[in-house]
Amino acid sequence: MAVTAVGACSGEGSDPNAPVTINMALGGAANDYTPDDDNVIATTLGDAIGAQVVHQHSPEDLAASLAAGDAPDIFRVDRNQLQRFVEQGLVLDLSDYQDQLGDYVDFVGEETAGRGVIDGKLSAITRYQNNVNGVTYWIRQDWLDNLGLETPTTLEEFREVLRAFTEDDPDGNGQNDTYGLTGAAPDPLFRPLWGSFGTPGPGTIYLDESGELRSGYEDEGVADAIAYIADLQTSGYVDPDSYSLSSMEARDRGFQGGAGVMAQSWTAVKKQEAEELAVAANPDAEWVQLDLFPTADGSDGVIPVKADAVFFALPATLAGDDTKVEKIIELINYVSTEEGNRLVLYGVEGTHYELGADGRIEPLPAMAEEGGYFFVYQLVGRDELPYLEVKFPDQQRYFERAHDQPVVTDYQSFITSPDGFNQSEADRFSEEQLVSFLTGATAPSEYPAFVDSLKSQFGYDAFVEAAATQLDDLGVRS
Amino acid sequence: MVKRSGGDRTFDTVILVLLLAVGLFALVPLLIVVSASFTPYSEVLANGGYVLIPKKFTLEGYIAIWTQTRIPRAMLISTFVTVVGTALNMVLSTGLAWALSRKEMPGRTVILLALVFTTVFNAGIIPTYLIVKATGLLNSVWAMIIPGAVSVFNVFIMKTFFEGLPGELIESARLDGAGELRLLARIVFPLAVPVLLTIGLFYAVNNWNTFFAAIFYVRDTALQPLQVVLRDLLTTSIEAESSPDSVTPTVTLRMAAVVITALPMIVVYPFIQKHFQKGVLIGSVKS
Repeated sequence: MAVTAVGACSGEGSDPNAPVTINMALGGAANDYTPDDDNVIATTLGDAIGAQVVHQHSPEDLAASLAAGDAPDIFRVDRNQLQRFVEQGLVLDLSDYQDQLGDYVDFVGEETAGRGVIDGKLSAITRYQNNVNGVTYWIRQDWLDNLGLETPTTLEEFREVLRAFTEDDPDGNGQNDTYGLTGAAPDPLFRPLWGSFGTPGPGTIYLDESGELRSGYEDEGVADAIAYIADLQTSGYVDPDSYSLSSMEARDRGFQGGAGVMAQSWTAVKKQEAEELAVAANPDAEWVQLDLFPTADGSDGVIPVKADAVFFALPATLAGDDTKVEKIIELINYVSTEEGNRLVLYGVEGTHYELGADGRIEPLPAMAEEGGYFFVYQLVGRDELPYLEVKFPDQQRYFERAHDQPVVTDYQSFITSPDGFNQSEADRFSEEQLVSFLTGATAPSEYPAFVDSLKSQFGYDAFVEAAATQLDDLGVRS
Repeated sequence: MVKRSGGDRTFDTVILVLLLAVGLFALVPLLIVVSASFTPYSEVLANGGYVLIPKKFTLEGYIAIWTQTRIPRAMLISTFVTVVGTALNMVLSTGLAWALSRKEMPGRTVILLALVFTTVFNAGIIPTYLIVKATGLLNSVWAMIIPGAVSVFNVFIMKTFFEGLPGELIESARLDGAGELRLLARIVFPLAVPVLLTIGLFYAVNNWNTFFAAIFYVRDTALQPLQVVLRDLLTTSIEAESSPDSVTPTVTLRMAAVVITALPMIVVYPFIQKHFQKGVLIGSVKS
């Protein structure tokens, strides 16, 4: 094997006549995929813009990669990273190309496109904002039937069902081997509950009905919610391992028959392979979704969804390489057009799908067979619901039910940390304290004191202030 | 043979039972992994989360490894890194250790201090990355071999061993006309088999398990070694968990991958073990 320094470097010693290669690392789930370089999506994209498009995994250490000048030509960052890299001059200022990004702006919307602006400079493109909810409580309908119980619709009924699932032997095996509730705690296990106490939960940054910015920590309902959850825990209705389980492990515990309610995304319970596993492990189990419970005054419960803060930036080393940057702009625009977006969502017309008379996408068998990796080219994102309808027709009622729950957008991931605020330290302190409250180790009456130390000792006050300024700048609060 | 009293025998039995219990503690988790790799996951779940002896048998995990994952290619890469890497490690380390073990070597103290220095201080991730890039190693198999080609710890173990060889032996070989290389090949190496095998095994296991060099310096997925591919199979980001697009590998496949990855080293160990035991004592007593 010879020494091979594969030319992943951007723009170094390139032959001016050679076709431009765009290395794209969209990160997230795309890091788990390694399609062949000459796959049909890459080649069709390449033909459309006259360049070679290559999917890469994100560098393990992006900062080192940027410092060494061998970062991918398009890479994924969160807002804190983006801010830092802009300050260090590591990402390309796209302001000069703003006028050329018309198709992209039309697709994601002007407000979303504006979110990639740092210090007045367009520094990244922002993925299409869906902000849709996928998580609900799932309950064992067959257990409810066994015990002669109705589907719970209020917090009181929910508590009673969890009690019965724990104590009344819902599976009829004569053993005390079941819990009411399981899932990864504290989140997403309790995510569907906060809203019934009039708050999206501690840690969220959101706009209330009057458009005022609020911090979830300071909502009145949090202490009541904590008391309710701690009562479930100390009564023994919550799987005691919840705080150490991953979401998938908790789901498997549910599938095994260990608990009758779990907080899960529809994908974890009803995607084909999950459904098959559930049936094989426990053929009697019938998992159905629960709606959010109303608040005490009868208004709708809400569930928080994180604002989709995914950005894609270009390395500063591309400055001066106009040919390449223009090709990248072309690529961004192309996947924003109807034709290009369809390609990266559904594949090639005639091969992977047919276009119906009313413009509907009708999948062909090849879409299910080959379409697993297409999403790694979805550079500007997608409109989620129509996509799911085409790709997961059998699961439509589940994702629609989840999407139909009233949501509150949590902008926390859009806020960059102000000086004097250390996000990870504050998070660690807050999580430790919350676990102590939620498990009943600390009384809910201590909650205000906890919020005070979070604000005074950890600088959370400064964070909320920064959030207000930044969300104003981003045009979120208008 | 001395006749053993009843008390002795009871004591032996207690010790035996205790050792068996400790042995089981080590063995059962391994057995669960192996069993899970041969059992459909739904069967594992239906049995309360683990199986010791598979009742329903499947090879789907192992078949999926060859058809769906990057493991076959990664196996070649890891084998290359282990074989070539270990050979290079040994040549460089024995050469250095032998030279440093000779008191007459000029500049010996300076070199020793320089070596110790690197065990206490290192350049940090980004400067090291820049060096690897500047030397053209980035994105090549050599990035997993050359930056860590010499382990100072191993060199010191070898040096101590060489220093313990009787000086008379080496002197008499010299008198008989042996040059430096012949001395090494004919006199020193045959005497040093335990230390060479021990250090060789240390290096080989390290090379087989190469991970950090691979994730930092090798982005080309075609050049990634086993441990990196295994990591990708075993971990799923929270985002990927809830992404409708991602397909998480089955637990059966994951467990099969763990078995395949660990197996080669487990197979090699028993053959080297007797030398290994002698070898790790080296340097423990100074004369």
